[in-house]
Amino acid sequence: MIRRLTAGAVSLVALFLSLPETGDAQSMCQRAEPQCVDHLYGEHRPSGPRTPHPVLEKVACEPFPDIHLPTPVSNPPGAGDGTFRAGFAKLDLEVPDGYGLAGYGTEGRIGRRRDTRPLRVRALVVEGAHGEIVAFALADLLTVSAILHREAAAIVHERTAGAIGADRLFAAATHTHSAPGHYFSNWPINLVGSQLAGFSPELTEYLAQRIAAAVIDAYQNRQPARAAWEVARVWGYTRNRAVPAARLNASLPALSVKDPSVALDEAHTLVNPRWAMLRVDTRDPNTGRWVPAGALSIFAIHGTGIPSGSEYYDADIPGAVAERVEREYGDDFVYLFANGTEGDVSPGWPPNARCPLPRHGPTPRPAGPRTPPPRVDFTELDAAQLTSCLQEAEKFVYDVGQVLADTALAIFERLGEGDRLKESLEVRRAFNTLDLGTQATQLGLCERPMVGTATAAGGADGLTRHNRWRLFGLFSLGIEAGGSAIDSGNVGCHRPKRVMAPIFQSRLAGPHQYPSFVQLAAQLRYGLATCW
Amino acid sequence: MKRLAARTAAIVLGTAGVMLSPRPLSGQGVVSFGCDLATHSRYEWRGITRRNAFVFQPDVFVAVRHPYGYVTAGGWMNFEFTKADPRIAEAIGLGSRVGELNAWAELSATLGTVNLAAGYTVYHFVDRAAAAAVNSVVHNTHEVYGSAQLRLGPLTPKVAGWLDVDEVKGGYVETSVTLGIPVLPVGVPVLFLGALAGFSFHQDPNPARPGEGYYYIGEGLTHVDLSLMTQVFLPVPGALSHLYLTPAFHLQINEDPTTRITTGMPQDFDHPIKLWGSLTLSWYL
Repeated sequence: MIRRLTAGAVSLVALFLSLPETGDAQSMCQRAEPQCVDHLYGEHRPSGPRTPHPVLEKVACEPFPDIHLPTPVSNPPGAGDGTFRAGFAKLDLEVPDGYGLAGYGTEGRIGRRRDTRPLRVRALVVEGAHGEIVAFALADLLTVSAILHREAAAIVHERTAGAIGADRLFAAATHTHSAPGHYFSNWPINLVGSQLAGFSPELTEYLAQRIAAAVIDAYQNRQPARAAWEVARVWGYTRNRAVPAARLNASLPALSVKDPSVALDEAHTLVNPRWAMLRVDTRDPNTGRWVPAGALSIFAIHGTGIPSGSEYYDADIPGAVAERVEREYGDDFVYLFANGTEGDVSPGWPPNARCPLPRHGPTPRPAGPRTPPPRVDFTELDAAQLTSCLQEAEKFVYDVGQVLADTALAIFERLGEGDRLKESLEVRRAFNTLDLGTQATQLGLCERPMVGTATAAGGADGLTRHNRWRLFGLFSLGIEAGGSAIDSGNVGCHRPKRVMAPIFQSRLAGPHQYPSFVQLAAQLRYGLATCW
Repeated sequence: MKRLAARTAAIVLGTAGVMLSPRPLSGQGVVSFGCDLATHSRYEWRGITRRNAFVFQPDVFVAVRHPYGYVTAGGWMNFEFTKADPRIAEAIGLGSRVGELNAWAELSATLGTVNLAAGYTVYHFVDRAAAAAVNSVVHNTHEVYGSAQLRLGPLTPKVAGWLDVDEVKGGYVETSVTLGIPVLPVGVPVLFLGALAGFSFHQDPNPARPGEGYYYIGEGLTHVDLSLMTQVFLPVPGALSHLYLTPAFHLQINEDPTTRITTGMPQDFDHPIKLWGSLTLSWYL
């Protein structure tokens, strides 16, 4: 009991002390007081190494817009003319410098743009032979938030005369961990998603507009098309980063290595190896010839090739794969390399492609004989260390990107063989939104979501500096993977997880706390089914 | 007095020369400034009570960075701003309450996990007659000193020695160890648990040279100091961002007879333990 209370109290205080840059003022104002940062600092705000970046200065305290679920609903589909159509589009996401990189928690640095693997949004719109329309949008982001989806859907709905609304827009992210945050619908994620805290209406609006623009372009680019798809199995490039946890699953996935020439260890087999690809060729309106237009594939792999030491917006491995495949077929070709059930599925990065974390220790400073001990805090790596690990990571992402792109190209070529490409495809879709706030227990979930203490330690792809922290250097309070993060005394729904500050978390219930809506969408076609 | 002024001037000029030279040590020197404004509930100097009431002790310094550390020079003073037992005081009876003015220069270097420092200190008491306390005497004197501190994760053992080269002669050595413990996973605040032992070497009365100064009655262990300290960083942006408070509490176990005196009253001449605290506001740029 004492340990639990201590852990709770420490977690609570640590949570607020770890609020980087924008600090307590923001956490308060996100719930009630809009524009409190402006009130505090005004126009001529002084700056220092720990002050918020100007980009978030005016946005950190803006209230969240309401999320209307499940609007806007599309118009009923037309009857169709028996022709299967498809259109692709691709746009850059020119995110301004200065937003925090989401994906590595509070280790996420302040991002800036560069030319290597720029962030993009890609879109595919398919129209079935009987008029049903479905749009896929894939952005080089960590996730898609409910706000982002709804705002993009609203724009698309308006610009397509109601043909595509929220219920026909399948928005997804590649899950790169080197893209900006601050657009999430849930304030805890905006709060500790990176070294900067805050929700940015400007960024959210910009991303929504770009996603919408890509979908609208794809909608307008629709041409008579033919398509084929298959599911391949790809082993060896992904591994499970939490094998002990995977072993605790009630049932391990029944996977097997089909290629006997590949000898894999347990970590490399406890993954989802399925690589699903939909190839689409469209008829060139000028020549009437079929040309490869693009593809949509799904493969489970974390976008963590680039470590938390980076300060660049980066599309990571998915971006490297997509760029290479697109180069093979020309500028108009669009390849949507979407993420699958990536869970604990990591790219097989080498250890030297992870950057050491900031060390806790005294900060060198000038001092006299009577000066108290120097400031003790986390100190950054030196530049040489950082450069070394980032160079290794760059090489790794490039190499894996090339190999996976080769895999994609091979599947794509196979789908074009013989008469596998079909002109007459029917599209059907289903869309539903589950409210976990009211339906959780019916769905077999715990009534309330609760974050465990292990979350503060980060994942194996990107541990945080707080990993393995001990109270007074002696007592573990659960900030680690396994070990004290397992609470054998927890008999509640979340057992055996050690819950972080449970009393505090239970007080957080309400709108915009943790993600509470689940969108289920499915696209069906003749005889075969897949769920995107 | 002339000798003191000459030595002080030499230190100041030498340090200024180093700082103003075109290529100060590393050739990439960066000048820093800093100050520490300390308030102590009592003035304890190497285990000896020099003032049994609140004192204010500011220091200022200027430093030049070199590839391995700093060249630093500065001044320090003891200001007594409350009335207290005149038999344990440095400034009572003076128009000014400044009891002590010291100047120092130091060369420090960090080599791997070892911090090394060597320096020179000039002690000057404004009114030596008034400052002659019951527990010891004060001396306008000079010391050379050196220290080595090892960083072993949160543990920092340190040994430091001072050699009086003027009025007192002899040496004083402190061995200490500090354990820095982050109270929260975010790294701050940090609790410092410290233990320190002081040793005197020939800083007791010298029968062969009665005119020589002394600080302690005996040789060897003078006192043990157990401390608890933390740091509070003040959320001040810009140039003032390196600003922090250091509250500290000390429990001193007294060994040498001079360290056992806590007031000027005879009944307070043999206390085994002292408790005192301090609060220091530090800043550097």
